[in-house]
Amino acid sequence: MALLETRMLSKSFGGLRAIQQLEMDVEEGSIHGLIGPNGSGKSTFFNLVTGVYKTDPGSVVRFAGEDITNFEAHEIGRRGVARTFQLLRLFSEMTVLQNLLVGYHTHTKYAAAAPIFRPRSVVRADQEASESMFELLSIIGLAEFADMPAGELSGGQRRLLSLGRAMAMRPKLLMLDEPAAGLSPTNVDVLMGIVLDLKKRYGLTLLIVEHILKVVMDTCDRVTVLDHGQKIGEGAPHEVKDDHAVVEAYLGKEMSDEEVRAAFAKAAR
Amino acid sequence: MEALLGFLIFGVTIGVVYGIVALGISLIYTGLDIVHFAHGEIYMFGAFLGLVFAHQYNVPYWLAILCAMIVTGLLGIVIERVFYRRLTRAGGGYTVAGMGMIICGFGMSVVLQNIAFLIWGADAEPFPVNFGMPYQIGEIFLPKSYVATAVAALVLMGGLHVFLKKTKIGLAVRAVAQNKDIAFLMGINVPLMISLIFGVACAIAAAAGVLIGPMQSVQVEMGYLMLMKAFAAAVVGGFGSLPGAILGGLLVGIFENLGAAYISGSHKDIYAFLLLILVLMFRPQGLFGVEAKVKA
Repeated sequence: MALLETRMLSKSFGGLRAIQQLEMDVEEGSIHGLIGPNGSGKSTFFNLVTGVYKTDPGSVVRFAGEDITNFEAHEIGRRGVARTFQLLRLFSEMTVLQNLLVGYHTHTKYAAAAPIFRPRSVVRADQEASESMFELLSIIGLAEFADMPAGELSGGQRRLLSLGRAMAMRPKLLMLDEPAAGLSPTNVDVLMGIVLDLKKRYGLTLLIVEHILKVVMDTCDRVTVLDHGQKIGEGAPHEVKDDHAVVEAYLGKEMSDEEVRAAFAKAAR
Repeated sequence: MEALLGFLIFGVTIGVVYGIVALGISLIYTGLDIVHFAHGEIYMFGAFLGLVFAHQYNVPYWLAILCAMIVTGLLGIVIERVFYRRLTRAGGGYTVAGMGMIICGFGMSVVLQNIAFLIWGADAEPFPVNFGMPYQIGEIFLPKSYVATAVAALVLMGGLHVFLKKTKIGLAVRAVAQNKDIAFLMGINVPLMISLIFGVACAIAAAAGVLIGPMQSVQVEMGYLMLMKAFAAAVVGGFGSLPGAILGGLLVGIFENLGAAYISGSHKDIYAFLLLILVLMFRPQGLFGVEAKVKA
């Protein structure tokens, strides 16, 4: 069954059609890759699904069978869609643990004033919260930094924390925006190892935008290729790799020398 | 010596009131990225509402503070929902919409002042509250109203601190203050949190109004000078810093009363702004302020 479905998904910014009638299914429990050259609409797609942008009329986004088209971002988040950002964007003035609790607390149910009087139910809920957050922290390897301000972490640790923060929302669908960008090959392997571990433990469905083709080819079950807001290819990684249209989109004749160089640099990294 | 102590005691008392108004201004600034120029009028409305509750409905003074806080908080939420929201939707304080927001705040201040004028008239209304005889420590008389004010202000600050640091809604408010887009994606109802921030900020301004009522009197134009002083307090302490707002309020209160004691009482209002200018010259980020608020 498809966890995330889009039908006739479109988005225009003035005259620019960033996404055009995109039909895409992300199967439950799968790892779905989304690739395409710069400006092909990957980020717009993320923003449409998470409710940051409003879709054009006629578009439909369904999550777990429910029509969530144009829901507010926080409502979509609560239904189980979480994402990371290429630029991480952590709450840098909060501690590592608090960064996670922001996401986690959207699920805890107790009255606003209750923590001040601390009835037993709140104590228990808070205990559960910190236990499950410490479990998460030890998976991503940041348990010893729980009380450190997020702004003081190293680059790699911040990336792990952004992953943890998304996981704290206990999502069904985790959307990763270029998780491996700027990491060394060893660290990419470590990170993807953690991601796969999380997937197995929590039964996630993953949607990954990634420029490093090796990551996509190695981990994804299925890949969708976008170009100019349209789907130009879809299938298993090896099928997509041999697809003529896809190769042309990445390395095609119509690209300027500069773009080709950039594409090569990205693919070779 | 006694006279100096008297000035100091009054300075501290008025200072904590400046501090809690500044606290509201800082809270709105951190939460919404806007400077709320109608906050003085919110404070004035709170004072009048406290007077109405205490004298027309004969509720006890402390309950009048609470009632005024609730009603003014709700008024603040209505103002935010109806007028400010459209502008904050378009972007916060660092955008063109943020500039519009400031002008909208000025306009709101004129509108609120005139509404208050229509309801309560232009005369200064006395707000007598019987606190009983002042405490006497040696030669020093300490009016109970001052003590009550300081205690009430401490309770408010403590309450706000616990709310922001210990509750999950406080955590959500801080997340909204740091980054609204991300907070939204993390499942936080950002518009609701912004209403809440606004309501709380207006409620504590109302408390300040009811606290200061018995010391001075309640009048339609009382908000203007308070806004200026609270603004000075917020800048002195560091804009956007909540402990800074309190400390700034205390400094402004003490500074202007020492000035009144040693230099001249008739130019009392100058000293607060003198302090403001000094702080801006030598430590422009304020005592607790961050260098500059950079948004991701």
